[in-house]
Amino acid sequence: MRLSRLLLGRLAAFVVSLLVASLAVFLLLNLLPGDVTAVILGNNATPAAVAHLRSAMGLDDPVLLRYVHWLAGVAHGNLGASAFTGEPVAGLIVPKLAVTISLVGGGMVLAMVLALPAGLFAALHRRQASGQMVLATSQLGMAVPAFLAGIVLVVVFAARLRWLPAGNYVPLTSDPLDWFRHLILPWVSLALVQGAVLVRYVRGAFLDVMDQDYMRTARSIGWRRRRAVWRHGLRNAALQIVTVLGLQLATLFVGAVVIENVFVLPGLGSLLLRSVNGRDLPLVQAIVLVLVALILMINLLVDVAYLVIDPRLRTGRAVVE
Amino acid sequence: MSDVPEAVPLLAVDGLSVTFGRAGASPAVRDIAFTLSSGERWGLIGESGSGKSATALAIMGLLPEGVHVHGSVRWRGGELVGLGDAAYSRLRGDAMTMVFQEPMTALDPTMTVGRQVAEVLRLHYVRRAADAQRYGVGPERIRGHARERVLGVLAEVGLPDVERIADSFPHQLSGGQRQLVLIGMALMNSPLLVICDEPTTALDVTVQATVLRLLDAGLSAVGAACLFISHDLAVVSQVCSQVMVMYQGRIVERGSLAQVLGAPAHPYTRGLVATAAIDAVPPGERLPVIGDFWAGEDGGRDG
Ligand SMILES: Nc1ncnc2c1ncn2[C@@H]1O[C@H](COP(=O)(O)OP(=O)(O)OP(=O)(O)O)[C@@H](O)[C@H]1O
Ligand SMILES: [Mg+2]
Repeated sequence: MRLSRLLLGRLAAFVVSLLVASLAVFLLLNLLPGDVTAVILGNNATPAAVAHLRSAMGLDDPVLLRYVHWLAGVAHGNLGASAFTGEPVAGLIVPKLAVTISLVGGGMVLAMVLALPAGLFAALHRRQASGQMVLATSQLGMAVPAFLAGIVLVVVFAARLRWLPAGNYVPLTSDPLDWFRHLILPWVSLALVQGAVLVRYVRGAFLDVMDQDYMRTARSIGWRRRRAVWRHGLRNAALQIVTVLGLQLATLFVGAVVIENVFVLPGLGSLLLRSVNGRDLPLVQAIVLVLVALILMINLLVDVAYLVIDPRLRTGRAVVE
Repeated sequence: MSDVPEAVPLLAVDGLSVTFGRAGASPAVRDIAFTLSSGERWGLIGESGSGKSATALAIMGLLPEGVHVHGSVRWRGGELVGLGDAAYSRLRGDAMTMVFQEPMTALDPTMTVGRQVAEVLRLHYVRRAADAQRYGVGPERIRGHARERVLGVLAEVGLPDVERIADSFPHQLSGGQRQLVLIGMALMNSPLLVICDEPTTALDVTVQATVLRLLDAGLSAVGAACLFISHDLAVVSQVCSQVMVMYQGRIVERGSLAQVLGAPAHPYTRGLVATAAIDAVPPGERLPVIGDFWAGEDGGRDG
């Protein structure tokens, strides 16, 4: 069937992109001046010690060969070892990834829950004061930095009212309720800022759709205004909204570091910053690879969503004779 | 229908003005008046920007928010200007329908044609159910068989292979096929009035003729009145027997087609008639230009 063929195509493109990206990441990080031995041995190491370590770590091999070795390791779940502690990098990354995915996933769900109705409302009431109010509020939300929103929430709901914990992370597997309670404030602060951005795009998408000819047709056959938007606008607006959601998600995996810091959440962004500061090259390399994979995966999901929503992409143009 | 006295026209437009933008701006439609009785077919002709579409949309209540409409549009005696969306929606698509100019974008690209046609039935099911009672058939008779009725109406407007068309998405159909689908939707509930806004302008000439013929047949079959907008006399004459000429927001001339074609009174109409007859100009002679038709006139052209 055509759809499954298209899906396979998207999947193949995903794999190829991932390979190309991994090569790019590897080359970039390995061809830059300054190598990992200096980090491990310190700046005063003797040349002999450096040379010994280099050959022990395989750093004297041609770079492409090293890439292949690394890739083979990655394929077996071995992302390398930290330059400092020697710990397997995978073991370091996975728990942080769980934190970031919990934070970003929940935050974006909340952002959508807030922004989709608000954006639709603002579009339907574009000429009324109420619609303009929504727009102005979102403008305000965009102007507030995420960390400030977080701090205010902590001060009010954690420090003063003592309703919720101010930070730290409890794994979902150890106590789901506690996991939830600890994430409420981070989710809200992420959702406020991202939701404010999203509202504008949702409003724009619906305004765009409401101006389309097929909307006029829908009204001319007897759909009432709102129902017409619901029935014929939703899918068409979703095409645009999905694109924005994909972009937001992609930037948030690192971008959430601001909120991770405010709420002391040990996420991927925080780990990346620490490993870059410490010049822990294998760790940086592995995190960047994970991030690239995540972003490509989001693109894949967005592509699949397009295919599901838009029949023009999944059916031929063949005209019925 | 029986409770409406014979004398009340189907549609009575009186003192209708439409102004886009600020209230003080120059109106697109200026104080027009006309009536349309059951079964009558009127052409509305005029150059681009003369206010034809604005008139049609004002009657349908489909002008965008913030457009000022003044005057009166009476539908079988009842006022439509200022009518609420709910009441208007019961009328639209049922007793009063419309076909637009651009078929390529007039259907929802994400939904099959068949489902969109079926909506026309579904939306007016309540009124239909009342009819069903009157005609002594159960409402399920009308609610059910939606698929058959969709296929039936597609066949009636002359579409081939209706099963496949119903299951297609709009982009899989040609412009002419899409317009026929839209005409089918407009005729489906046996309307009293069909407003057509340049329904064939976007189609190529051979398709145009077919679509006009099928529209004509469809209108006759349901006995609907029609307001047919065009800027082409030849096209209007294929569907209508009477015509109104619009110029700069006003109706400047009206009458039977023969009358208007035979003795055009307004300079714009004279130009229109002459350009329609351009083939008749003997070779070598200069073609008429619009200025020729304004010679000796100074009224009529207002800004
Ligand atoms: N949405 C709008 N906003 C502002 N002005 C408009 C709008 N729609 C139409 N107008 C103006 O109203 C006038 C009449 O437009 P209308 O669309 O009714 O013309 P028309 O006779 O249908 O022309 P055409 O043959 O090009 O379709 C024009 O001067 C046009 O510029
Ligand atoms: Mg027009």
